[in-house]
Amino acid sequence: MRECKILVRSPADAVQSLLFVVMVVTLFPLAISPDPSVLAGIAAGLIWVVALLAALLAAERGIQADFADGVLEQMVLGNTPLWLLCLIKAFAHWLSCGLPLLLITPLLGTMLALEALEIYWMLASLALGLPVLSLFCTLGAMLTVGLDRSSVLLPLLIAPFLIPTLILGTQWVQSGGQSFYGYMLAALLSLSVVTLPLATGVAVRIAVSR
Amino acid sequence: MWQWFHEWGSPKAFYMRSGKMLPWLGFLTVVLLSAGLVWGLLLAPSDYQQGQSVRIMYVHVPAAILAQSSYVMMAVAALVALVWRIKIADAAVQTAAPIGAMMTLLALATGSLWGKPMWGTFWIWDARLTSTLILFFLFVGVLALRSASGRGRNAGRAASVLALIGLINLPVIKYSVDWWFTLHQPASFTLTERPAMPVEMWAPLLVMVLGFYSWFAFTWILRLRLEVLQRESRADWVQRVVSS
Amino acid sequence: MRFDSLNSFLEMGGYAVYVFGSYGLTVAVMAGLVFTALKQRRVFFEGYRSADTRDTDNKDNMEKEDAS
Repeated sequence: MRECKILVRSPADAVQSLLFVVMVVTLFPLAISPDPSVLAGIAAGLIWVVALLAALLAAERGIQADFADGVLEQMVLGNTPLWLLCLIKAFAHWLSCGLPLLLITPLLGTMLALEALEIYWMLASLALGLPVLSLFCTLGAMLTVGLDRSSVLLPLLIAPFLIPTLILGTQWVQSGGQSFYGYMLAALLSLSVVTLPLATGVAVRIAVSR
Repeated sequence: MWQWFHEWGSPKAFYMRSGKMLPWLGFLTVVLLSAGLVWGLLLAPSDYQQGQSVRIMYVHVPAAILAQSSYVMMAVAALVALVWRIKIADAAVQTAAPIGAMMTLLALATGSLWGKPMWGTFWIWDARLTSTLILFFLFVGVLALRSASGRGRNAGRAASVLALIGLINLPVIKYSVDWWFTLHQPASFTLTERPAMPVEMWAPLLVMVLGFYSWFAFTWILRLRLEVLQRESRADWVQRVVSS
Repeated sequence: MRFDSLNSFLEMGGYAVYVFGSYGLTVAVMAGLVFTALKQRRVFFEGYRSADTRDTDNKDNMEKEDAS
């Protein structure tokens, strides 16, 4: 709907996320070691952390502008259930940040000396985990929208909640794809999809009342 | 039962009633803490492996327990504040947060000081210390959001939502951190939990834990009373209280 | 008593810094939080009282003006 129209208008946002991710991944061989065995060892965790950072950076996209334009008030007053609108916002975040990251992961994996099978599990873990990140980031954005220094506040607030996803995701890759982690990630995703938009809706009402 | 709830919900009633309770609570705190301190520092046995450094347990463990409990209590207050819109619950969240954060820092500091004689290093990434560190970040988040929200009537609501989300996520975070560390534990690292503690050790520990809880209740109520006075400063009863 | 002498207590089997450091921090945090609470309370009371006397002065003045 409206969100997709916005995204189509500014693919620049998606490109920004992509460039950020590639840039940061490039820094690590330079900072630590170009040795493939070292890189392959840290690759899963590194890509996941970069995904976290990119998601946090992109969190306020669309939401700050909506607050300023009064769109959030319309969301609260409108007929569509608020949780559904928040779910769509999270989906928009995923489209602009998560999906590009997913598409570029094979490249990142190759840069970090990952085997093809490892890249496969990397993609699987990101496929399940990135939506969770998007849901949390949207929640964080709604909690902090309109506040002073919200761009610093948001990562501080939301980062702890991203840790379980981080741990499950990296473990799934590092264990070579043990299905236990897959099930846990799927459970986390289902739980997040059901509960977080509701919480985000509450946050929107609070934000609008400021 | 609801009547009792609503009675305590009135700021004035809370202030008056807690004023009567406070000296007793203070007395209890002093008794429990001094007994616990003397017991733990002087009377309790030293450990076969850790020597006298095991005495740090008598402050670190209660601090860690209280750090976590205080977050739960703060989040419960947040729930009451959000759902029933009771102003004093909102004040309770605001006053609990700094106390909880300091407790968490204390747990981390004493944990580090215990770690040096035990493992030879001031910091180690184990499940307990790491989850305590994350808990500290959760407290800081609530504090930061609260202070950024300003002073309006609804200022505390965002922070209360955050506290609740933190509460729900806390088990998830603890579980995943625990899992992470059981997988990555180096072989030489020994766990600090022992299967059974002799009564000479858990009795003083219990006294200290109770003492810490008592201290927390005392300090929380102390600060909550002041917060109530500040929020209701225009009311007549506050004028009477201050001038007496 | 688990210690033979005052000296052995103060040494804490070589761990004195850590043990007394931990206990000292604990006491400092606990006492500190209570004392700052009491101090804030005193500051509030004093600020309230001085504002209060100023207000009553004004009221007296206004009442005097009304009376005259």
